[in-house]
Amino acid sequence: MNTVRLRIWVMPTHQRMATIAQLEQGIQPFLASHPHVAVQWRIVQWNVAWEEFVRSFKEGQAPDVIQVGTTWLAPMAHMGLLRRLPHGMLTGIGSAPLIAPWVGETTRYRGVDYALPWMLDTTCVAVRPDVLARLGVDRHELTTWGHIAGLGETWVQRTRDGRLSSLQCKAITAISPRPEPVTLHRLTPILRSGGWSVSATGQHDLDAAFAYLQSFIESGVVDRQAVQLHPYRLQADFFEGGLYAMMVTSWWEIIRSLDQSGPRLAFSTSTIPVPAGPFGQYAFAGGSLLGVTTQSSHPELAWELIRGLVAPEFLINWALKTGAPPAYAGAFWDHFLEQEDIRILYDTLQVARPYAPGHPLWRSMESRLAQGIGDMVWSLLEQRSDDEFDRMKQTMDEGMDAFLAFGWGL
Amino acid sequence: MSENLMENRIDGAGLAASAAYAAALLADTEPDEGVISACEALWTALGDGEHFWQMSLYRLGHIDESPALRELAYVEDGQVILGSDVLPLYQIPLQIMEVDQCLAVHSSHCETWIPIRLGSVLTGVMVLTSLQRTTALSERDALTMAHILALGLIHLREVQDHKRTVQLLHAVTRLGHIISGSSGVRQLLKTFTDLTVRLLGFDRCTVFLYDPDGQTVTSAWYSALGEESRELEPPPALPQPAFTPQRLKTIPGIQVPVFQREVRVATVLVDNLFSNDPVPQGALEAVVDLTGQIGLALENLHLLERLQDSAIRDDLTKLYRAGYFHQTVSALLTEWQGDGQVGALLLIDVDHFKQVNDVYGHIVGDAALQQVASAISRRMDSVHIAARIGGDEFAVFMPDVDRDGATRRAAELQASFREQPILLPDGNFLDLTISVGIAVFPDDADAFVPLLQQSDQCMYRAKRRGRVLDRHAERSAEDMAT
Repeated sequence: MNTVRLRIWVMPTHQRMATIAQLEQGIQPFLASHPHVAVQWRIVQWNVAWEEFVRSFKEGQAPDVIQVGTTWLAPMAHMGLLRRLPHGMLTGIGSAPLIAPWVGETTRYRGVDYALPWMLDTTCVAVRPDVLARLGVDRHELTTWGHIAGLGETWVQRTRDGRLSSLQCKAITAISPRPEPVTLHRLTPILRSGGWSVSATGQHDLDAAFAYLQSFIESGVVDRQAVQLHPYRLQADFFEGGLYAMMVTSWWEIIRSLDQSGPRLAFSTSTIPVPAGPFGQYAFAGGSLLGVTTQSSHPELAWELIRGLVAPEFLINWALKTGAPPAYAGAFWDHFLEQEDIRILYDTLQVARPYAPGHPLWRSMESRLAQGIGDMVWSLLEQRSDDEFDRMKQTMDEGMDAFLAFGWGL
Repeated sequence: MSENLMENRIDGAGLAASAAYAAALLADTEPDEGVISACEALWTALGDGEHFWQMSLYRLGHIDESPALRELAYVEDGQVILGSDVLPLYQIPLQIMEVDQCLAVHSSHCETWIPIRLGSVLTGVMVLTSLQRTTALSERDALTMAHILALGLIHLREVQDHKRTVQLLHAVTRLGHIISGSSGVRQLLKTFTDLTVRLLGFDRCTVFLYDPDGQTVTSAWYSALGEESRELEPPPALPQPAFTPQRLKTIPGIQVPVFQREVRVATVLVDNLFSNDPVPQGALEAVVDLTGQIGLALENLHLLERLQDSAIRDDLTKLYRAGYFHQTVSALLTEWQGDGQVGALLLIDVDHFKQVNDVYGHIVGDAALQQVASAISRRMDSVHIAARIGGDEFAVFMPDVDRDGATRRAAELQASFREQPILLPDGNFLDLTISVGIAVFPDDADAFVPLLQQSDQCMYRAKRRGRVLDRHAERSAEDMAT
């Protein structure tokens, strides 16, 4: 029998060879029952994966299986890049229910399912309890962004007194305005709770939300010197460098620290529920899915291989290595739900909401939005003039409007 | 650290030879294979994992039009995987622009950054990761390797650029052949939009057609990845119309206007609205070439359509000529044999039309006939076929219309003439009436000629009786008389 080659693209965040080794472990049962199948992995970085994938599709070189960001599904399905999910596949993968109600919606475009949920992403507000203790604050009291903004004054006072001199901390927190989708993920909890809303036809109350964010920044809790740093760098500065007391981030480091054989966090770190603002609490809901492309010559084999990657026994180890929580109830949650941080993660997932509408233009609009919001936040952090801020907002609005103006035929 | 000083040095001459071999491999016509083989060779020459734990090879490229280092491949444990890491220039150690090698020491590992320059121009970077500081690779050997690799990276970029250019040229040539072979405007636009998406690699292609003033969009054809070409109804407005070929300012795309004798007849717009992918280099020129061809093809097809039209349409009324009507309805009825289809043939004659010509003259008579034709056309559906088959005789074939439907429509047509007199060129009104004969397929006849004869006979009887008459009603009356 001729060898069948299945090509798979995944987007892990680090340790590429270890990632491949683990993925291969996950598909061992599949490979054992299909000795004629060889798998070729490609590790693609998140920030170029979309571009690389669309280009490969246009060149007729798309892989068989692809990890799909939840906000990519609508445009991918609309462009005919993904095969429909085989009937009954979602319910036939080990009977594990989805961990949160919104997860099922991320696989669907215009009433049709195109992918299987895999790993999730949501807002993590990580804190250093030791620093908070030195500030005289119990983390459980930090229920609103206003409470956190209030720490600014205490910080200044205690720094002046020298009571924080033994800490490496530079500030309470830092915000990256890099023009990338991850910036949106990190900022939306504050902007949405300040009143901002986004839909497929436009956005509302951004001015009010930015006024809220500005008051947060001007409270003095934000490190203005970090304005040029990438969100991932800030994450490292928080978890490894201990340079901040809290950070709006992802759950990767918290989950990875559960792995006894994995890296230990340099500082005692904990999490708090996502704080609320005048318009309530907002946690970003996203993650990734697994789909089969329409250019795959072996879709049945591809879907069967995917089954191995969503199997509960694989997902627990995969979650510990990648730091992303699994989309399905079962082993991981059963094992760790007793821990307070993971309980907070679970509760956050229950209230999290995708900010992205399932719209075929969303991927393009998200990039423009991230660029515009990033520029505006940069302007606030750098204390640029109001005129400059308004120009940035106008540029972003015009860019967003252009996508809708050109959006015929949808 | 002293044990590091004792470690085996990498053979500089061997490394230079491997770098030359790798540089040649990077120019492979299948770039992925070339990159993998080149990295395997370099990894072996760098000690096969003895000194370094990982190796990444980057080349200078662009992300969103900003310079960035794109990883070509990554090696660990001797395994090479094609890379996708992207480092914006602000993320790399600043001193790399100035020095020949720099060391970044982290808590868990050391990174040796080797800039790959051709002269003073940075073309890429190699990053070697070791668990601790190493002196195995001398600065001079690293510099030699980098100089040789720079040639390979330049070759690689040129091979990839060349490949893209060839693809575009191939696409333009193929599209050009297809455009020149199109037999109608609709087919041309459908094929063009479909193939532009498939061959030029854009998300979407839209062709806007203008009316003769060159300003108002009258129709638009659209194709997109995952969608068949179709006409957009109603046609969308073009958001940023232009009179010269240009890149769009707000989304990644190109628009190119098509001119005929200085009048804009169409605009071709290609874009990457869904993927937001930047417009590839050379695409503007390719689309300009294509629109030149499509402009010529449109002009030829419009001319051909006008010629074909005048061959089958009556000059005065613009309804079909008798010959075309005969041919088309005959073919339809032949196709319908035994299919259970029905259709009605209405023969219409203007009562006392000879007197109009005699009293008012032929100019008024012709104007009256145009108005009659126009009144008939207004009461027809798009699938009906109408013709002027004699001086003041008209015929309409109505597919899927039975006897009752035909009788009702004929009565409505007669009523419209009674209620709305014909407006003459001098502003006066002329009262005209019509007589209509009806025959129904297949009840009255199952072929065109007998069907026409039946309706003709009915029409003359109707003319005598002053009402609509159909063949069936006439037979019923004869039966009753018998």
